[in-house]
Amino acid sequence: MLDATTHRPQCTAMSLPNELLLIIFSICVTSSASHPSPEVPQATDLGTSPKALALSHVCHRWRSIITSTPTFWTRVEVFPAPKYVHMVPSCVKYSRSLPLDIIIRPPSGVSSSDHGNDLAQHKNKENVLSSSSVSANTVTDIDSPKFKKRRRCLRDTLAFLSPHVSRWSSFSLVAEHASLVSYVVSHLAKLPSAPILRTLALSLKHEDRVLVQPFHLHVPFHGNAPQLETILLDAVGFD
Amino acid sequence: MPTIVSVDDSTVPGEGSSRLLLLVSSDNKHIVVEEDIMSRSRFISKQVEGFEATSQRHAILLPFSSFVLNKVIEYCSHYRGYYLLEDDPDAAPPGRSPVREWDQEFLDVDRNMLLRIIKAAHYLEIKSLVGSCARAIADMIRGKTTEEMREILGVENDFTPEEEHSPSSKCTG
Repeated sequence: MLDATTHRPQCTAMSLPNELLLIIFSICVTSSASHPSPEVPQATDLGTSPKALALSHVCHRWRSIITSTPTFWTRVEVFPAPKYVHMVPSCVKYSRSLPLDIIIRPPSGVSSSDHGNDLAQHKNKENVLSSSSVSANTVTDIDSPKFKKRRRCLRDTLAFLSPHVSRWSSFSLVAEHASLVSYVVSHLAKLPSAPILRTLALSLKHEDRVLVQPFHLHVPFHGNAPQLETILLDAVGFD
Repeated sequence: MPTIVSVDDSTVPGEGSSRLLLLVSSDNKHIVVEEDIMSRSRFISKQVEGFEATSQRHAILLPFSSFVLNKVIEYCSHYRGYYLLEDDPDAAPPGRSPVREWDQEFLDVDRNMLLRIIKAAHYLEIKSLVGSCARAIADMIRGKTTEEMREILGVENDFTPEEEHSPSSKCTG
């Protein structure tokens, strides 16, 4: 009977050797990562780095193992919210010199439709615009505190990551507003080069989608991304 | 380690040339098992190779209880004769494959037992069992809060409040 362990000393995870903990952590961190490729992600689950971060908060020993394993930190999956932006420096630090896969997207459950609800509430308060007006929506978005907060978080995220552009292997943005796409593209245009970047994905996810054409003013990385193989654009176009 | 029992080179009736091994658990239980069954264990295989080099067969002492050892033997018996990719020396690290249905039922045990099995499997170098156990443990803590993870796996919080939320403090790397 399995209950035969009842009178034995308790066995805890503290008794596992580091080798086994590392195997368990690897499974925790990677196995249910919902987006194994750097393509445009769907918002469903926490990414690799938040999971690594959560494990690192359990005890000293776990933290030591997690932070000593650079591969746990190479997938920088960030939601534009302060608690996730604060994770970015850890990713940059603990990934050592490994290539980074960067994904910036709305958090789970805050999809375009939820954002649409936020907008709707805001619109009702302001009572100024019809929901079908794309240009009017844009004005409303930018004025909302939530939007400003998101934009600040996005700015901070890029500020943390930009000095390490030479390590960017993929960059994926799912934005809730056209102006965020334009903001990111203008920021990428200021970066000198992305020598190992292979994939660049920009996606606009909003129910009032418009085709954004940010590239007529800005060329990312000064056009210097020699390894770039794939550009994925969703509601984002070249003029 | 002392060798406490000599084992003759007998075979199992009706089982062809499968020889017997004597395994001795930490609670001093003597368990006789066919060599074929335990061949999934790299540790046991290496022990047997040693026997063949010296032409002497001895009991193999193991640092875990008969209760755990019997569970491992049950696992090895179930997969006797099967090729499991995870046990290939060149295979990817354990835990990369989905857990087999039988393994899920087999590992439907309490935390203590699960941790003991994975430690035994690690000692015996049975990668497939290590992988299945690791996946089961990972499933227990996946999506859980830090406090829940501690509770589930019996881990003590040894952080100061300042350290707790900063991975950059007091850590190696």
